Amino acid sequence: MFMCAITAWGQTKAVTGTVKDSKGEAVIGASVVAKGSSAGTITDVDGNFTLNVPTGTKTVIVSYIGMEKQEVALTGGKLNITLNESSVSLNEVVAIGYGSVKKSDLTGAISSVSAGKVKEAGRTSVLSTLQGSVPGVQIQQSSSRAGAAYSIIVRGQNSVSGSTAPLYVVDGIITTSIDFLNPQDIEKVDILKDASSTAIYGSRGSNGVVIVQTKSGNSVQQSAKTAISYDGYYGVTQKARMPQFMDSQEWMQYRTMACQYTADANGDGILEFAKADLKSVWMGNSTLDATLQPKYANGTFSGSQWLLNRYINNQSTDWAGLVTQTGAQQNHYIDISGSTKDVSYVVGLGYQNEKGIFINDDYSRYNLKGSLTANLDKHWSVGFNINVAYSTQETGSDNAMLSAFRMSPITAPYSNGNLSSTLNHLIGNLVVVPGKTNESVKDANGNYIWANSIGGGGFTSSINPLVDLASTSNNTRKVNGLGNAYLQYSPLKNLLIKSTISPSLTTYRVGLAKSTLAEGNYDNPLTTALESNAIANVENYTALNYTWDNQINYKFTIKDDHVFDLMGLYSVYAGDSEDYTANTSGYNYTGYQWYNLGAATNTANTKLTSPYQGFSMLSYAFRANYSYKGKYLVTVSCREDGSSKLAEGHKWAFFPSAALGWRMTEESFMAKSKDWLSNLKLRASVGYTGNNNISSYQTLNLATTTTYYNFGAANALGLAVGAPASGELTWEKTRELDFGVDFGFWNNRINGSVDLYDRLSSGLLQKITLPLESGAGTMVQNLGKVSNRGVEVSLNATILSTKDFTWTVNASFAANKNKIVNLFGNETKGYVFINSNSQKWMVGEDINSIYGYVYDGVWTADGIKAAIAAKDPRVVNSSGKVIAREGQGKVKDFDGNGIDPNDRRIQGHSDPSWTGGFGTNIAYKGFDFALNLYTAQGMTVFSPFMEEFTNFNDRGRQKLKMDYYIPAGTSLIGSDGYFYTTTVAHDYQGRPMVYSDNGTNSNCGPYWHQGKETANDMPGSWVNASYVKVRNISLGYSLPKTLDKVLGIQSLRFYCNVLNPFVSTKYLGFDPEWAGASMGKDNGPSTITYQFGVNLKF
Amino acid sequence: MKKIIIAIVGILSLTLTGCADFLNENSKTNADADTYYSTDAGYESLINACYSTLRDVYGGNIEMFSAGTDLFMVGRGGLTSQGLGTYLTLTPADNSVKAFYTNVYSAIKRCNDAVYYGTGTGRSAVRLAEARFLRAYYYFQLVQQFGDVALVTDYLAKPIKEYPRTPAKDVYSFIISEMEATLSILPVAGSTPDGRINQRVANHYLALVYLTRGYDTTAGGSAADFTKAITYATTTINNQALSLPFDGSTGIFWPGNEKNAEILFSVQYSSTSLATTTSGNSQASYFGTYLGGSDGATGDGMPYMNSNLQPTMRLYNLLCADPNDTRFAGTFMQELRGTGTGTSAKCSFYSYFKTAPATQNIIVYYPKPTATVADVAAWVAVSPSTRSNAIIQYAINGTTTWTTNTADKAFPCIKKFSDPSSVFSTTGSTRDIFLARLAETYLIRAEAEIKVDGEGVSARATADINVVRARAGASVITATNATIDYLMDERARELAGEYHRWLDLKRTGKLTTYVPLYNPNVPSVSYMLGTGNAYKILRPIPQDAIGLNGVTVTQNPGY
Repeated sequence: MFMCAITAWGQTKAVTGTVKDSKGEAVIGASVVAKGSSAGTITDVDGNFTLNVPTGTKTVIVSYIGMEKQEVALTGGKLNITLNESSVSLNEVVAIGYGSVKKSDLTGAISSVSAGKVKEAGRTSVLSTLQGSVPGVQIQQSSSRAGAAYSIIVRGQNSVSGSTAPLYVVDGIITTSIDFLNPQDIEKVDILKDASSTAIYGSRGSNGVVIVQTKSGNSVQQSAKTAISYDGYYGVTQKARMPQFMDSQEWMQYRTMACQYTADANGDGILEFAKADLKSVWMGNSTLDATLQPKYANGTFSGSQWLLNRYINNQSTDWAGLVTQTGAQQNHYIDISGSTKDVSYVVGLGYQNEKGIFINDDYSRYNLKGSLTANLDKHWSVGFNINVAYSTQETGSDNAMLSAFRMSPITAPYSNGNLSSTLNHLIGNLVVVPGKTNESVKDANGNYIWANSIGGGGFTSSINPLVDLASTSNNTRKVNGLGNAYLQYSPLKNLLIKSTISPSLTTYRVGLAKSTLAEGNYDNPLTTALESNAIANVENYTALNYTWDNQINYKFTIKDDHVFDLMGLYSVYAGDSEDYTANTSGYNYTGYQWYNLGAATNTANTKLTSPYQGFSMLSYAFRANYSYKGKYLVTVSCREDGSSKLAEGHKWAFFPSAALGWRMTEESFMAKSKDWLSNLKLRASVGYTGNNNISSYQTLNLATTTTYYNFGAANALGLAVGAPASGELTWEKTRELDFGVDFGFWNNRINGSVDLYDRLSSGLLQKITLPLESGAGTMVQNLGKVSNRGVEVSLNATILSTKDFTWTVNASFAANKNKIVNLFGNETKGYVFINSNSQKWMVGEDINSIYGYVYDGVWTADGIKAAIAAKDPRVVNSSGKVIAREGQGKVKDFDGNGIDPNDRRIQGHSDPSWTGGFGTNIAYKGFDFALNLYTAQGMTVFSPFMEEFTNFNDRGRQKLKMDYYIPAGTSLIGSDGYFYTTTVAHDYQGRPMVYSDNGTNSNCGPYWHQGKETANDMPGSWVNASYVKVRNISLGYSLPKTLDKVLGIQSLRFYCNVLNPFVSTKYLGFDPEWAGASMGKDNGPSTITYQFGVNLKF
Repeated sequence: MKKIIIAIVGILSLTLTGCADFLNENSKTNADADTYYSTDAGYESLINACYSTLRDVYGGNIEMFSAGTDLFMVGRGGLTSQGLGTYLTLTPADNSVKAFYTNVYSAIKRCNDAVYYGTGTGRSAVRLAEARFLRAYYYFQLVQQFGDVALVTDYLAKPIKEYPRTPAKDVYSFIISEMEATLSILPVAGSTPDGRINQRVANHYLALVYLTRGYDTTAGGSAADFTKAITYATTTINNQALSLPFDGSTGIFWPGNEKNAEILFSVQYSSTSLATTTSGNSQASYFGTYLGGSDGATGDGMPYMNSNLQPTMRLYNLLCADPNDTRFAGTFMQELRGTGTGTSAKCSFYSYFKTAPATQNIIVYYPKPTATVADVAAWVAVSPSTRSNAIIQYAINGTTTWTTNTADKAFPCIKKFSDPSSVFSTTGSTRDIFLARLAETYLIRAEAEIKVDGEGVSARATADINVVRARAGASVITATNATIDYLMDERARELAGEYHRWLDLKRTGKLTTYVPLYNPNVPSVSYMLGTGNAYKILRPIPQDAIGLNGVTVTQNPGY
């Protein structure tokens, strides 16, 4: 079949020419093809070309990425061709799922992010690069760990229990994550937001669809010269904007307060000591009298001299500094692409490494990609794509970071000298439990660090984080592979039949090893001969799935004005996963890590699991795009999906959508305004999408529950029916309306779009508790409705554009209102508590509402006197007893009957009311400058950080540097170690006083942190976590083209980039972006990264 | 080439999607219930799972059976739900009541599964009968505690929201008809009890069900029920005497003797049929004083007493009413062995079951409340070297009594249930829990005979009570003693700590008289008065059950 092509090369003639851009610069590598033949070439470094065209050729087609394609008539002489930059916003091609359209023909709400934008951000994760650049897509980083994940929610949370993650489609392959991709490999990201766009993905489209195109053979232009590019950077990361914590003196003063109590309940908040409490302040013995000075004088001080010395000298340990470091990151990506007449290819190789700011925190990733497309003949073509990523991640200890921040500054990690012969709690000179009194460790002078022979007590039992770090390893290695191979047949012009098979593999191993010295595992190794508590756990997970898409596309035009683009799809999707875990304990040697599970001695504790999960889907889809004269646009699509996860008889569902577009500026009556209003398009769409984000087998009755019994000597194991099958389970469905306007002024120099949407998700999959009489616990059912309404605006403007100077800005804005419309089948009332942290689902409120008592400051001395006189029921109970006191936290009493659960109110929600992004790019000659900013506003978050570090219930751990109420008459210690008595009350920042439990009340009154009466309501931990973040500032310099020529390269750019240089927020914790993260390994300091990078292309 | 490609595509289409059941699910990790239970082995395992629910109902919290009675008061450790011990604070929010209600309905659900799957061809008719009987047994437990309860007998195929309460009368009819229907299908009892339901178990419970209903005319009871009870009890007894001793190493309660000839039905335990060593039962931990933590044990070890329940003086007094009755010594551990002296001396409780007494040092001795100083001196004189340092904990010691002393080792623990082989845990016992034994059948028959013949006159009831007394070495009684009150005393002596007492008081209508009289936690009967001035006789329907139910549920009186 190649024969026919060759015969056409009978006689040729040479055509020469030069291709330049609008600024007169040579265009290198532009494609020049003779129209009607396959003869083609590309321009050289001067923009010149010579092409032998068959005789009779009248026209050549000249094209270059980012430029408008031109057809140039042959004049016989040398051609001087000027290519204009394409009007990006209108001619840009947008992926719409199983196809693409020009942006001008788009009817749905789809946002695109280009490769340049992705590269410019300098991020190590693809999702991170999208933050702030796409309105309506809320992306949040979950921690400052290397390789940390990002959460993404498109147009508000619409499922209460299912996943909120969008569908990811990488090169046509549906995957669960895109974290494994190297950002440098991204060609383009399109985010489908409205239902008319996502309905083509039917049941899986309701959370939005993120379509990622990596660099592939398809994107290489025909007959392009081989191009080699290198993109890389190196960066250092430092912890930044650290919260202010207490130093030794502040902390001991806090602790002294926390060990006092109020003797009576007449409203007077003056604090006093109990003997035992004063003893425990200074790790002294119980003979210490409360009236004595704490400072050593004439032998009356019997606490720890070491402690007192550290206090007086204000020696503080920077525990956080001991477990953090300067992080480093590097990313290198080499990309080789090229094409011959019929074959094009891309080969890519990437390496990325992040050394985190935490010790033992390391992430590496290797990417390999290959892509090849080939035309077999006029009708047939084939191609394949593979993308393989191998990553390793070490996260070290889950606890060390938290322990380090929790450790009080007055404790010390190292011992200078002797130690007790019997209680060897030192590793080298590291103290294993620095906050514990029974350490019996002496300092260099031979004094016990703690007063000797005191049992129990102490600040904290946490293991020294430095010991913990050395005792724990948590290592993941992972392979993500996805690929596709397709065969395409084009029997007619504009008719394509394509069959693609796309397998995808995810496999990882997670190993966890802890010695007996690790936190949570501690057992004195010298008294226990065997490391009986040492554990080694390993998990091996493999998931394999494939999608097989059979697709037919047909484009045709009737009478020039009616343009049709039809697509039909039959798709098969199936996959399964195997997950093997082994948990073992008891090792006499911990160097094995998880590589010798058979050596576990504590076999009774060995636990093995190996669950299997499989699922499958069948789908039929159809889409028609119709355009009349490019003015009126119609898109209709539908998809029929069947899922194995749903109940028999409920497996199939139909997801239709329709959209209309009207390009008003194409109308003749708009011709007059065209010089200033270059583009105006109205869009409207409606569509249905679905969600089956539940695990497999929920509709099957399974014998899952192992039971134990015996009949006499005969054991009688049983298998009982597990959770009852949800026999009527079907799809969650989301209905969405979208109205949009796209506009462009002055030849699109200012352009943008506005979208309004209204989505209602119903039949939400909720786990409900069945009546107790059913004997069956819980069952998943389709109940509940959630509404999301919002607005999205995006704006781009070119402020200046001259030969040497360009200045562009872009901005985005999105607001979303989330509301539960129906909960468990109830439209008018109803609520359910989600967890103990005051989060609650209520009909009519945001899913992520914060609910609880309304904090109202502190009872001052005068305030409480007046309240007692007025018999305020918050202060005086029905039998006349005073139940609150000066210094205690106060909450609002709405109904005047004292504080009861009816006084709780919704106090905000943790999802932002609105988000915004702003970016600006300035280019002057070879220099370019970019700045990007992101803001999320209106977030009230339950902050585990605040819960941890302002918790007055605790008196052994580090606290946020803060002031608190101190009643007049209370004893305080001065920096000299002596007590003095306050004469006036100190009232700072509305925080209540710190006082101890005298048996009738909790430490700080019930309304600050977890008090005894109201464990679920902790106003002290609710914070406004709104923020403005400058995401990056970058400065680049590209070598002049003339110099490039000398070096034999196409382009070379150097740049430096600073990530997260500035953050503005009221939040007092680490980073507002992860203010809601739990205080485990994932909550840690904010960072600033400085990068230096190179973009090089041969 | 085209043809080849088309052929390949065609073949692929067929192979990949040729199966019509492409969307069917196949769980490999867990057996499909329909498939598995249609095999003999699968159905057998489902029946095993039904029996294992007995551990869920009886193995843990036992407050529903023993707390708030004349025999047991709230101990130092307190109850999971104090209301069951005091009545005053018993509310529908009570966690122990909810746990019992939930556990029993879960058990019934499992039996319903077994009944559903048992109707297929080839299933063992005997096993199906066992499941049906067990279900009826559980409804008997529910109807006694709650009165009207939802009668759920169908397989749960889809979510049901509404569970109206069925009148107790109908629940009793269901229980009796199911028990009588399965009676002839069940096997006859073997020579040693194996924990399975057999005809003898069924006869025993039919006697008890009839006896219980006989008292309750609103539940359809009548005098004829007592006659039925006598008939079923007689069939159960089948002329078998109580020939084993109560106390001692050959006695019915000695560790290892659980499979003795007098046991009709028991919750089965063995050390090899536990999920973990601490998933045994709690019976051994409940009735006694706190002995200390694990560091307080030495030698052969001691039980971890949770000290939630404490015997009342009434129980001690009942058991020493007759000086020759072996059941005081057979019920209580009077001699705490160990090393050292004083109440904090380390305790070797289990040595009693393992080692001859002469070689063991006694750290605490609990004389009977009736013992004199001379009696104690005589006890010491038996072995002065091991006994002279023992602390003597008198029941009444001038200012304090066993019942008001909360110190460690302050009063004797019930030893009937002790498991010397268990780990130190409040839930570690692997002793079977006796639910029905022959002595009780005698007492059930005696009770029915009194109801038929009248109080203080029944010769046959006297004879039955004397069978039980004579075995314990106690003096025999005459017919004038054959009253319900005396029978309740005898049940207390014979069955102390077995899970009957609350049900016995409720059945016989003695709850409001005995509890205020003998239980220090309930000083007055007014403590048992609840909402609407009604006595809290029935248990409250749990708040969550009412909240989750789609129909309006009327709460029991008093709540």
